[in-house]
Amino acid sequence: MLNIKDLSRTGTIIFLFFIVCKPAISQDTLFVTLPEFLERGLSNSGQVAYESGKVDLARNRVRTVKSQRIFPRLELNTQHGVVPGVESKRQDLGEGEYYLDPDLENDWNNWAVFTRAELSATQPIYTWGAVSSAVKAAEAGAKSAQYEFSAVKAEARIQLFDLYYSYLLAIEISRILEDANEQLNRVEKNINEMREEGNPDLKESDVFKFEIFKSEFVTRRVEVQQSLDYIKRVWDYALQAEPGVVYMPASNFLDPVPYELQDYDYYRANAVQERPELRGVEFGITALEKRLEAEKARQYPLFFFGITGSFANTPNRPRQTNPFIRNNTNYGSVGVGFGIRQNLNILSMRASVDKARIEYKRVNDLEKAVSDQIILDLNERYREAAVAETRMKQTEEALVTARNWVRNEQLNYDIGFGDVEDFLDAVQKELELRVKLKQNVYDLNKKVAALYKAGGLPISQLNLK
Amino acid sequence: MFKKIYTLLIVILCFAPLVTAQAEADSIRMMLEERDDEIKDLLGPKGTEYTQEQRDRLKDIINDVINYRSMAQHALGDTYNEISEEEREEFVSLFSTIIRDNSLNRLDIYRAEVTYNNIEVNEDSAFVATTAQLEDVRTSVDYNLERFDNTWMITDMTIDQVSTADSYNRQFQSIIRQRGFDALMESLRRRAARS
Repeated sequence: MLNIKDLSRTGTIIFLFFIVCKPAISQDTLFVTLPEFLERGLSNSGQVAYESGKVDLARNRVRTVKSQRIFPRLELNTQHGVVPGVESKRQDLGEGEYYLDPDLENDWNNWAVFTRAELSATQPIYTWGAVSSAVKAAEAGAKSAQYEFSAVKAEARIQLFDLYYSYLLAIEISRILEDANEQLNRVEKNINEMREEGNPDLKESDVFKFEIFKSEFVTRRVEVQQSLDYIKRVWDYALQAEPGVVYMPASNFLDPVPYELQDYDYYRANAVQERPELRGVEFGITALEKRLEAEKARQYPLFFFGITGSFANTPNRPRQTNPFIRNNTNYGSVGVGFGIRQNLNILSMRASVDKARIEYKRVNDLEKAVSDQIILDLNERYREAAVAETRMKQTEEALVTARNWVRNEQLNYDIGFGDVEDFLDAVQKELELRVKLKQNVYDLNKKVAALYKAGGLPISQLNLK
Repeated sequence: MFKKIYTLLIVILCFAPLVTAQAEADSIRMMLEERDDEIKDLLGPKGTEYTQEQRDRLKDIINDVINYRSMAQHALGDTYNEISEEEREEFVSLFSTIIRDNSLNRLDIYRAEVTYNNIEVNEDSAFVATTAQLEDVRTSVDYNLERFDNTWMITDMTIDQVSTADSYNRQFQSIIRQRGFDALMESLRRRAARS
């Protein structure tokens, strides 16, 4: 039999066994394509979710207004209870004549269930278009909310697009720096060899320059590493990363998006047709126009059809046969009729119509303001995209020249005409241009996406992978 | 009947060059792929140590498809026609020795995965555009080829948009301008002696 000491020792061994055998927490890497990143980022966006709530509210309003078309007032009221019966000491009165006995008393030995139901309903017949205009206003309002939501989504999509490419840019720059580090090591080795050989081509000024460059390079590496870490954290937040999962772009290279700059008029025509902000305002105008019509219609009399019905039953109470004498516990009646309702507060009604008219005018002015803003925005985005494209192409050309320069300097070294300063300058320029080119590609992609958004074109048309 | 035969002939004549060009493109691709496979087989995995015999064999496979005379002619430019036959022969020999020696400087690059982007054949010349990807480094490598005695040979390689023949040409011209052809030859001799 195990004693306490044995048990404690066994427990410790088991505990240690689990500690040792506990599998190391491994991290899964999940590669995400740009469309997947956009989709997932949008589904996690708080702003997008908040805006989608506005669309739901607008749709709910449509259902509410539509429900007002059929029996906007329909009420059923029922009451139930137990009540005592009645008794009369007079022998000459039948049950239907009890109302003639002033000494009628409750019969506390006779209890029964009391039931009463009252139904009332009104159905508008003619409203001068008030109801149908209100429905159309609500429907247009819902469409306007849907377009406003599309505009918010387009903005969020652009931000995610930038974030995706930021990661690729950081990866590319770290790769260039790794490559540069190798080159620096080669140059350092070369300088050391020249020094050992006592090569007269090696100038001390070149060595100083090289040392300064190396020091600056260390700072640059730290900057890039910090940027990469920062972007990873933002990615995790945007994707609501699960613990132990590392998300990375499916692509490994930052390339220009497949795109060709069209004429400005192409984007302008499309923006006027498709920009969700503009479409939203257009439907907003329709909504307020219909609301104005509804407000005007409310100034006129409302013709309606009404139904009313009442019924009460208590088995132990007498039912009066005389229609002029009503017993509240036992009766039945029904009525159907036609009515006119007119609000006579003319000043209040005029104020409501004026308010609707002012709002209608305001939203018309808003359309002009939004239109102006869209054209200005589009002009700016078009200019930026065109400049970014040229800047990228020119940097590409400059990089080819720098590569040629490096190659020349390498060849010079190879056949014995090398100059350290020239070689260092060439390598430094090539590195600068490689980094600059990647930054310009990133900038171009951003600007193209912004141009697409400004022109009302979905960025999915860029055939992103 | 004759009309039909004529039509058929015209169709054949129109499409024949396209079919031939495609066949040539396929043969060039096959030649480059075979060379690539052969190099990779010899290289083995990263970190492999090579014997001198293996290095020589690698050098042969890498360089045997290169036409040095053509490349050297381009590299030297007009001077090639101005020098004597003997000088030409020596120049071509030194030039090929240096390039062959340089070809083994970075063996890793031959482990890259090659993607053929485009092969264009125009009679006796061809252009092949490829992308070589080694781990996370992507390099564009384009070849200019010419047919010599029914064999396709590389006359220039453009790596990351920089032409090898043009680079040599630019450099040699600069040296010839500044120091003369003899100084260039002297340097090449010294460099070749180190190989």
